[in-house]
Amino acid sequence: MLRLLRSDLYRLIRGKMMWMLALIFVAHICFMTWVEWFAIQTFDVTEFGLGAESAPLVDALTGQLTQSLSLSMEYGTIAISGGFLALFASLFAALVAVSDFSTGYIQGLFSARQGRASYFAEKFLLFALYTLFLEAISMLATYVALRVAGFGFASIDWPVFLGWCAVAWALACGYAFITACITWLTKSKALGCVTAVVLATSTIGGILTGIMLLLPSSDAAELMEAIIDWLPFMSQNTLSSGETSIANGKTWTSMFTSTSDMLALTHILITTGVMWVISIVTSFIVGTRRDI
Amino acid sequence: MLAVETRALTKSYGSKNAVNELFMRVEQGTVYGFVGKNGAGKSTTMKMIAGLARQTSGQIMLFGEDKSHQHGVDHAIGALIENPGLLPNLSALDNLMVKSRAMGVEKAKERSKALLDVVGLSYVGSKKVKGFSLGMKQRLGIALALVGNPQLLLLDEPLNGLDPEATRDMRTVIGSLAHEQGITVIISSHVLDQLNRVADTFGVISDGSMVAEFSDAQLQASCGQAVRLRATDPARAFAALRARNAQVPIVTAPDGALVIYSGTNDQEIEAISHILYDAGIILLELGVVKRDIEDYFVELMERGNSHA
Repeated sequence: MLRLLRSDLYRLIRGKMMWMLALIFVAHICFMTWVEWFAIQTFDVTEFGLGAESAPLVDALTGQLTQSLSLSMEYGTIAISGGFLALFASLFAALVAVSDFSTGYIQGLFSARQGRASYFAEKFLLFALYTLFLEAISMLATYVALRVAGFGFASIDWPVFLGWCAVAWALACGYAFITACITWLTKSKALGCVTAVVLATSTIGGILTGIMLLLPSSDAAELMEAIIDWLPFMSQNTLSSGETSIANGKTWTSMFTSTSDMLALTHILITTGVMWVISIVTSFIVGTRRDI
Repeated sequence: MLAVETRALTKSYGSKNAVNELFMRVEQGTVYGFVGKNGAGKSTTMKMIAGLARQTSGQIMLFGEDKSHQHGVDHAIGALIENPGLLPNLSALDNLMVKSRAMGVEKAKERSKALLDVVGLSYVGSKKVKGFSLGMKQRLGIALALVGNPQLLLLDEPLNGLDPEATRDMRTVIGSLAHEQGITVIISSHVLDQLNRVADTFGVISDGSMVAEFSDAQLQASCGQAVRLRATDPARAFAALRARNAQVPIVTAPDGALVIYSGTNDQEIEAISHILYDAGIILLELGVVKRDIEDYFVELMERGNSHA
């Protein structure tokens, strides 16, 4: 049971790649925390057109805010906004997915009659576990780094917070799964890494948004709006504002239309589900039939 | 018992047949030398036997069972096809441990150490593979292929790029696997004189089709001694000798000499000299030579090409 997964864990724990990616991610979190701390330390009210007499009031407000941070919002800003969690999870998926093919390891495994379906199933499980690992250590790093920098946190509503974490994990997994699927289809390390970067950093969403803004108001523009609304980066943007994004039955707010009848959580889960289904089904159908 | 038998095995890529109605028979517990030029279809055939590629048509029988239409078979196959499948940042022992765990081998560590012993790499078991020489990597590749106790081992060009010492070590390992442990080994190689030293039977493939299959004993007989002669008119000499016996192979050497693969006793040599004398051809040189194995294989492959 789960022999391939245990074998992969054995291999990854003894290798460097898994640790290096996690280390770079944590370093990014620490750096972003330092940027936040530095911005507050060097905040000057006069630069915003306020008189010097406003400084004590601003200081008091800032002090109050910095001692009642929302962990999910901070983590969302640092790790989810910009797609960093998705990026590192996807890079891991691309590198792992291609390594078995580039080294020829897969040939030894499949000729030994290891089931192909179980191979792909256990790889998806591995990517999901690693994404969870990344999320956990980066969340911890965010908490510790902000604490060390002198920030404080508001009390956490654990059920909502954990629910938000689960949705963020599922979405990041979706990115990793899509990347792995494309890497398996192409067997190209370069293409896998490029896919990870392009998808996770919302490059496609940015390009489409740019195109849409150039379109005159028409059916085409509306269609483009709808497409952009359902792209994963929109869900990522929503989640980056923390647990409030899915709490209290908040409705979906797109970049273009102010309200929607659909719950934000529902919208994100549909997007995530589609990513999971497409990548898993494609990988199984193609991967189990294709010549190695 | 046959370990592997293919019947009209065919693999097509578009309109091109990489393997074309291949018939192959490999006896259990033997080393089968699989010979062919680049692109002849050796690797594709091995991949189909290993279950890595699906055949377009034809049958694959493994140990008497038809495995043509299924990916999974009961018999584990060890394969070293194209590259050894090593994880360069891990040690040799860890490489074996990873595959052993993936295959659910019990007592993985003990078994992995035993496999390092088999291929003579125990002394570098804890060293990272990226620092290994090509020969060490190939030997570790064989150890990896042996994880799971396969009954059939497929080795695609394992002797490529090896120095003489590594080649000899590899030959020893392959020979002992077949003759001491009863593992059937199919080995393809371009290094024909080395393959000749380790294989019990041979299959020559050309343009995806089997040209000939023969035992080592048959090979030695075919590569026995021959009569070599140079004459004033080689074309007439060839015609005169051919007229005497159309079945005897006669090859024209690059220097114009004729090499006749018939008997080499005194009576035969006397008969040849009489034929040429009667035809008015003057002999410049007459002697007995041994046929080169490599030449024989090349001749077979070219014969296959001309039939295609």
